[in-house]
Amino acid sequence: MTDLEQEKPAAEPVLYPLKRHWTWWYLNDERAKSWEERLKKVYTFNTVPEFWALYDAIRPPSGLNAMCDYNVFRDGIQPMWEVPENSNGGRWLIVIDRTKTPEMVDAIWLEILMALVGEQFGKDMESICGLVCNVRAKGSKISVWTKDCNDDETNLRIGIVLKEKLMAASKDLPKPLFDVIRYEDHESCQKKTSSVVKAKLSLHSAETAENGM
Amino acid sequence: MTSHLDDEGLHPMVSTLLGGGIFPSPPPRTYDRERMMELRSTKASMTRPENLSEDYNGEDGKFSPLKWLEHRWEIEGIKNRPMSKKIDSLCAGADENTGLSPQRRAFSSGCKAPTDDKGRDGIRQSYKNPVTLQITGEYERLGGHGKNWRNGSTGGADKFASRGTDFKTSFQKGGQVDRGGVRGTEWKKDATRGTKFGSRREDRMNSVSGSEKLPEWADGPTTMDDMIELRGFDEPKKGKNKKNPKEKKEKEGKPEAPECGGSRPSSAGLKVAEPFDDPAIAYSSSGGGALPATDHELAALLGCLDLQKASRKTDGDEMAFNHKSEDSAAGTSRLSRFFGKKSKSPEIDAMLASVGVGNNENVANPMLAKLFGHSGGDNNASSSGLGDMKGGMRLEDLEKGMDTKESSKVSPLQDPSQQAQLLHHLQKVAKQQAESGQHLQHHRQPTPPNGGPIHPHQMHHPMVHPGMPIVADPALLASFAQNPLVLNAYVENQLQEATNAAIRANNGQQLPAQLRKFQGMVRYFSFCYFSDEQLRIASMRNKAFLQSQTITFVGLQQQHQTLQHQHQQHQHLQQQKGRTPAMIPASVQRQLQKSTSNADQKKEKTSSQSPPESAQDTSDPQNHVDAANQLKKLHMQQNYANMVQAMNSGVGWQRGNGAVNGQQQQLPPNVQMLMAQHQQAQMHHLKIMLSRAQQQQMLMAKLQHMQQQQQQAQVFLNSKVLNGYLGFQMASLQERQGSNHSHLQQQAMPSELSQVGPIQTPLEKLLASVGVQGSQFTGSGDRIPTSARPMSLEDLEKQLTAAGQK
Repeated sequence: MTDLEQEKPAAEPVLYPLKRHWTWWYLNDERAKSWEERLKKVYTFNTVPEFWALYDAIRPPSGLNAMCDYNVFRDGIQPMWEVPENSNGGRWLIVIDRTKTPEMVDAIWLEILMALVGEQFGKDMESICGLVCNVRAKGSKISVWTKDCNDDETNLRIGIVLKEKLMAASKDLPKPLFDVIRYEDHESCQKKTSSVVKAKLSLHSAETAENGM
Repeated sequence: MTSHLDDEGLHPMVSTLLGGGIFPSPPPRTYDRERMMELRSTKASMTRPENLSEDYNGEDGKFSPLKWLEHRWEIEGIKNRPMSKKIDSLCAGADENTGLSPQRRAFSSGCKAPTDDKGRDGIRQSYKNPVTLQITGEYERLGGHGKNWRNGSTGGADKFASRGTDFKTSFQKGGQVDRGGVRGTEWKKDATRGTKFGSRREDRMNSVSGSEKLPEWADGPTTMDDMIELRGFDEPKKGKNKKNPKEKKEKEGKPEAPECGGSRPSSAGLKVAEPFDDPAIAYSSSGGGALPATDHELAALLGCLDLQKASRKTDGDEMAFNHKSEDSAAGTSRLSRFFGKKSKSPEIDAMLASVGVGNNENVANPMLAKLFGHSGGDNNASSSGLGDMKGGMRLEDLEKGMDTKESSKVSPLQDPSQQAQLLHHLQKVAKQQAESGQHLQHHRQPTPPNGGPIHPHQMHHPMVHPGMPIVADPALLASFAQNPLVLNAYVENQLQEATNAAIRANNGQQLPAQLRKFQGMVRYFSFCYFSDEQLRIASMRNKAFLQSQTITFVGLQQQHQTLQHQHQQHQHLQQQKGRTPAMIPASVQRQLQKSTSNADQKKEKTSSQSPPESAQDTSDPQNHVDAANQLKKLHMQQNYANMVQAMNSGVGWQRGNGAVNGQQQQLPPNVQMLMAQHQQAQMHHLKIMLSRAQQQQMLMAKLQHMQQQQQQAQVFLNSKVLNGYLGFQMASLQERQGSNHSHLQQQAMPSELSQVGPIQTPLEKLLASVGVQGSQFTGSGDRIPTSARPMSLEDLEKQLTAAGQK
């Protein structure tokens, strides 16, 4: 008996394994420092319990200072544009303007996290690099990074799943968690001269039908 | 979705069924939202990851990456977090009480030193503790209630009435307020301790006077606005000396206290000015209330009770202050004026004088009598203990003394008497030392008639005051600053002159060996200073050491100048200096100067070249020194060297520098080496500090002045006094260090030296100067010997004043 009991904890993580390892990153708000120094791995998990243990222990995005980031990226992908997985990528961007409550950010964050960790995107998971939450005073952003900004088809499917998940999470809310999600490539973001980047794809919460572009 | 799920789930099973042998790692799984939420409540999910330390939890109880990352950065050496920086700086300012703004307090509360608040609460409890009361911040408060108390004070009241009008006015004011009530009410509250205190003021007074005396500190100015009149300088001392120490404290210490409290800087400056700089004087009372036991003791020894008031800062602060004061000599601030004009530190002289003063009851000098009146009660001095420590001298007093000095030559007559007193006292001390000392060297110095502890007053040597102005030639100073060598040469020249003058005064006879010894002492003294500063300057040890030595030397010279009894000593010093060249070949000196900061190397060089020195010594034209004299001189030098060593070790007191101590024992007996070091140090110092050079110049001028006044007997006495003084310093140092008394003693001077005079181990000297027999002082630091005679700031002040009058 004792043996079994002892073994159980060890075996437990295996009970609800994740397909991938996910790493939780944190970027602090000291812009005076180099970005690399600001960015730190917080935790890596590959089981559902681990995920929950982390998520419930760590401050939600609403608990972060402005200019802080959370990044949850799979396997060895680093949450930066420069790495190969992201160099040609893009993101599904959800802008949560400051009229929304911080709790909405947390809700969106959690919904998408669960979808990612739960492999809810099917095969398209391979195209997904990670999830980013930029906490900003003027409005936080949550974005799903994908590998190929030009793979509209895949990206669109991902976007649709995103929308599904968010809409499902919004069903008890007076308003959807999001108004619109847009897909934009990282390159445009880097080169952007204004806060608005032309979106390659966009999905509106108001639209029941999926609209590519 | 489902399809994916199925595929993933089946695959391993299929492979297993197929017997493919490939055992797929845990089957990839998909979890929809519901599943995820279910799993969220599992035990494992509820277990916080170990590596998310709760140390970094935010106020929400959750792991805060912000804190965590900061910590990580600290670990990784990536610091400079702006936020923490800000906090640190704020805190730093608050700690030092340096900020003028109402730091983190409401502006309505004004820009007060943080201690004020503290004092308010603390005063009542510390009611009976004079020390506490004197702490800076509390003056204000004390003032408020002090008025009330004052009325009730027994002896203090009378005296108080006779005090300055201003003071009186304030007092009266306070009384009126009292009746009116708010304060009176407070007072009543305060007086809760006793039914003794009637509800009415009059009753209170009666009761107080009768059964319970008011605290010593109850008397005095209550506000910063109160003016304290300095008195007793011109008056005959009379019976004031008889007052018990406490009373005296009340009178002198109290009134001044408010002022001191008001101006911290001044106190700091005073401290700086003091050549000693050492722990003894520099009791760090930064905290205000609690002084370390050792510091306390030191203070007691010195008699500087007011140290508490002054809330002296650390030595480092002193240093900084010193520089500042020098820089701003031209400034209008009191401090700047004080230090700038009197750049030399008269305080030292005062200290010297005051140390010995306690014993002299009959001193002709009224000022001295008054100043030292507190101790006057116990002529025998041996009876006075810690509790007797009398009122300290306040910065203001010092300042005034300085002013007086500068402005003129007031009442020249005072000087002689003071000097006589001091000499007397010192002699007495010296005698005691000699008696108790390990090395009895009495034969060399016959005890002066007055020297005996029992007959302190007999010695009276009116000094002639030629009224030589202090020469402060800017050009000369500048030259000194630029070229230390010039300064040395200048000093030496003057010394020679002084020596010559002394010789003339002595009917063409050479100065007694004692004088030389005295010189050695002086140097030693200077060395002490040097070492003290050295410690402060942690970074450049050797260089700093030399500089510090130079500074010390200057300070010593100043002291000599200032103190009348030291006049003679100065002469001796000059003589010594004049002879110094003879002692040390110029080439050697140069080498020494050139030599790097390494003291050891210097020593070696000096020692190697010492033989030539002696040869030259004989040839020195000025010195008609016979072989015996040379021997004596050598002895003296050796003695001096020993003392220097001891001082160096003593320097460590501040920092607990063990290395310094090590030096002590290593001292080569070579006197010349010491001399060379000293000179070198002077050179360095001059280079570094122009202002110091100026001071030295002034010193030289004074020395010249003193030459005329010199009398052999006085010189004799002076030498003793100086010894005692030095000894005092050393003792204080040792106390701080907690170093072994025996250690110093072991460094005993050569037998020849012993013959020359009562030179004893530094510790003994120190003790002697304080009136403590070597045997009495165990060095444990627990207590101050009952015989110890504390020197007060007031004493210093008086000394200064006397010097000025000269």
